[in-house]
Amino acid sequence: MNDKDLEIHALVDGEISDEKRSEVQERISSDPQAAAQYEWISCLKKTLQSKCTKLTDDECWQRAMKQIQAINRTNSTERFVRRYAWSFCALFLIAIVSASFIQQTGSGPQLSTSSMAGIFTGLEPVSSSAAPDSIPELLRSGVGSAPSGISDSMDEVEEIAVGEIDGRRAARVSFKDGSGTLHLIVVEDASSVEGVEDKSANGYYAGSINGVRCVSWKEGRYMVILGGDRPWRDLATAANHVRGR
Amino acid sequence: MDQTSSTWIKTGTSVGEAVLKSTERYTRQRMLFRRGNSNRERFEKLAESSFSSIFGTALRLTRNHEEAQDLAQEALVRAFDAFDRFDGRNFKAWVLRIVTNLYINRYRRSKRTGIEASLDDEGAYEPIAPIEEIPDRQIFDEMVGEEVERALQNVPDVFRMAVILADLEGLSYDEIAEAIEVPVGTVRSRIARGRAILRKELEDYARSQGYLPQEN
Repeated sequence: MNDKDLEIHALVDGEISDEKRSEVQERISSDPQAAAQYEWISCLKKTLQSKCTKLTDDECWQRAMKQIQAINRTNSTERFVRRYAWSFCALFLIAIVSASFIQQTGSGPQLSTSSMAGIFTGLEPVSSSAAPDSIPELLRSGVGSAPSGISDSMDEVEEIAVGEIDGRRAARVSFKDGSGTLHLIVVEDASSVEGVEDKSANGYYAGSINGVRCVSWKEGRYMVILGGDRPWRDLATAANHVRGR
Repeated sequence: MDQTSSTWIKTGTSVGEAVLKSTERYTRQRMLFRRGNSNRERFEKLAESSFSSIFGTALRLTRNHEEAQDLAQEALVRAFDAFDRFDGRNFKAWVLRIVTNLYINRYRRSKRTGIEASLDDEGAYEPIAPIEEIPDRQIFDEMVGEEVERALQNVPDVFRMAVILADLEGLSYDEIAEAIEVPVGTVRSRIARGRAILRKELEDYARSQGYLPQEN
């Protein structure tokens, strides 16, 4: 196939320059073979255009559109997430911080051994004339309100002291029973006491603070500690007595 | 928005500002959502108007209905993925470029025969009888669409692709060259050769059906 043949094809396809067009047209009008060639190419092109019908397939179209819609949904979500990723991170961080804050304020933190060092000596004694009559009232004067589970039927009160432990309001009531002196300490907004975490003394947490054996339990938002120089089992019995059980 | 609420917002109170800000935020999100949707709607409109070309080309290239469905579907999905890069000029030419490229990559490589490969080379063979002996109008007028389609199916891949794009889809030589990634000169020769082979196929068929006298 030579260039002259290709020029005739290009003329039929309308892909020839103006200067070449007149040259090729002239050749077609003067050369019967070129004219015949022009004729069959035109005829073939027209035949293809008129006899090859448009083909379509609904199933294929529907499938493709479904896939495209799914892709579009994914793209939209990705765009949204990309755009607001920092906001999501910030919200997540705020949620974590808020949760930890709520946890801290809700159940209260652990009281460390060092903060409990002055528990038996560091609180300020209240004079006996100013002291209220019942234990709940005594505690109310120390921490604002009394834990609901504290009984007021305790024996001889030796000393009442109020103050703060680790920034939390606290009260101590030292009293005597048949076996000796006991110290009842109530600390507001605390969840546990370091060193008094072993739940083994008849359902109470047991441990030692400043060498004094203690049992402790939670009463609402208060941490209640009962300490004294006696076995933990006896302390648990005394705690039951304090709680009116 | 009524006068009362607009006055209330205009006072610049903190509530008014908050409402304005949340309204703006909502509008931005809606616009983002709509942009994604309008892009898809625009694509769908263009694709729908060119779908017969897409599917027709796929079917004429693969010569198999299921393969054509797969090819057309994949081409549409790829076109949608790349729609951001469409220059906005000729959607049909752009999407047919994707169809032919996919076909070349997926089908032709696996199906290419030795004959087709040799035909791709320049100067392979001249398939037609002397021009003056063949009454073209007579042959072509007798043919029905199915016969023309069958003859087209017998044209080797590379030439069939050029003929389909030029004669059935009306793409320019430049657009075809871009679609099948060959120089324009090669497109010209492939179209000419493809037409010559197709004519020979039609002529043979016409002879077998008695439209033309048998060759001696």
